[in-house]
Amino acid sequence: MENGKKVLVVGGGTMGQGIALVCALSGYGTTVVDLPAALPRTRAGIEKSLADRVKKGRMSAAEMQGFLSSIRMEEGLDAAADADWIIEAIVETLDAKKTLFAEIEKRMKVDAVVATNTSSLSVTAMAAGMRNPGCVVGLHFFNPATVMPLVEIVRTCWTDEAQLKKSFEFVTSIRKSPVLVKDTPGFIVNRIARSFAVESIKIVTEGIATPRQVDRIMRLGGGFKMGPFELMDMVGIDINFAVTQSIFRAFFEEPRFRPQLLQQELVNAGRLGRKTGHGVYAYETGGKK
Amino acid sequence: MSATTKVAVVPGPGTPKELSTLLGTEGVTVWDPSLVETSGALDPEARIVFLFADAGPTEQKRWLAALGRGGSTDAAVALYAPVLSVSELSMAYPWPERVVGFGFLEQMLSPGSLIEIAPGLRTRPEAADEVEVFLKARGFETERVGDFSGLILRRVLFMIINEAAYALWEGIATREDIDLAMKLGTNYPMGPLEWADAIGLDRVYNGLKGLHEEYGDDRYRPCPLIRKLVMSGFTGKRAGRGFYPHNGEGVTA
Repeated sequence: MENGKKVLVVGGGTMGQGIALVCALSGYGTTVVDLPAALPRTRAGIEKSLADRVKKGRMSAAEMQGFLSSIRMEEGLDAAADADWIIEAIVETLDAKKTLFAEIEKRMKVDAVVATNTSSLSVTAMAAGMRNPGCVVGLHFFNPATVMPLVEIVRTCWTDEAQLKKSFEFVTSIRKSPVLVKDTPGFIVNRIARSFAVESIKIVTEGIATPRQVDRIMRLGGGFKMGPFELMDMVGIDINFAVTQSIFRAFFEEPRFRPQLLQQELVNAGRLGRKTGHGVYAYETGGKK
Repeated sequence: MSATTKVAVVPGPGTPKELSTLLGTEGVTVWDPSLVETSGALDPEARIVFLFADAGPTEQKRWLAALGRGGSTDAAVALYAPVLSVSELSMAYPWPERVVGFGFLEQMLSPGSLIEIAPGLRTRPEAADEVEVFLKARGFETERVGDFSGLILRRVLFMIINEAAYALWEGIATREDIDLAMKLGTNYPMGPLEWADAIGLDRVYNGLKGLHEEYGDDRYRPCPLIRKLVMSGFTGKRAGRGFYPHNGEGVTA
């Protein structure tokens, strides 16, 4: 079952768990590293994802136990020494990631690829300061990583062609579809999808239509699976607002990316979406609006 | 008012290929656009005139004025895809109180899909009601929205397309990867660049220019790549080339 290659995932939050699971399911010997206090949550999350697969009949209980015991959970970075792939999914701050990359570089194999799952930081800035910045790529997975088929491969001005080629092979080997993008704010998806959310909010702010109307129009008139406000409530108003602000600043306040007051107002009100029971819409317990 | 209400259609730019999906076949008179100005009231029994003139604001005003010179009927005029507010455009028609904006995307038009209806400031409620009742009887969902350039769907979609065009223009990714990423990463029904080619880059460009003119906000300025393609005649599928080649010759946009 294992393909002989090793993946180290650093950071065992939602994205790290998903990425680790995808890699393990595709035959990579997988290790997840996090702080001691966080590891039980990581293990529980991975266990739950696997249990869901068993429930859906996509995996036997015995296979589940096999995968669960094959994913190693560790506290230190020792596994970096023999990993072919090192993917970080830790907290989204540049300093933390730069510190981590410096530690990884001390331990890693010379031909390993160091990848970041960042969605909002400069991959280039993360690689800067490493002795060999050419080993760094972005591998931007989408949430939930086990389900979403896309991975954005992000190249910096330093990224080696050989590492890019390996990145394509890797993404294909874990049964995802790769696209290649230059290291620019929001890459492809988060940048272009800004308009879907923010222009819709602007329309509502201007009183041209209600959120419910806009959602119906985009779904029934435009063929979108979800309306922008339904999607925002699912993703989290706070997360959407943070991404909007980050891209606006990163593009030096280009007006196309200008955030809207309504986003801020919802965040100030604590109406963060489904997770708080109230975002643009109010949700009853059970999640139905 | 029923699905067999007599209606007329002026099939200018932007007329859907499958017009019968929208209007049915019974009681529909198709007016030759070239005769609109000269033939007087072409069908005095028509209750609604559907005017397709998906072009820039000057053109839309010209079509409305021409229709007005054809003579008076008390029919409502349903103006497809207003690129400025209906309030402004309708002033080109001698009876602005009869003009109603409406909008949909041909690629997504099917029984049960949604059509937006936007009355202007002078529009009589009866005119908007007539158009809405007719489209509902044809089996469409409707939403009555505020009157602004591009209504809702086209406005949001054109902003998405504009951003995709900027991304392509700046060379951050290939057109194929941009379209694939938006379909797989966020479930869009079509990639924005292939969608733009299907709609017509000239129409996207006119829509963005309309928004830019109404707001005076640089947020809406069209990407120079769209302008360049439009000015070169590469307006998408109809022209054989837009962001993509459509004639099998493998030219790159």
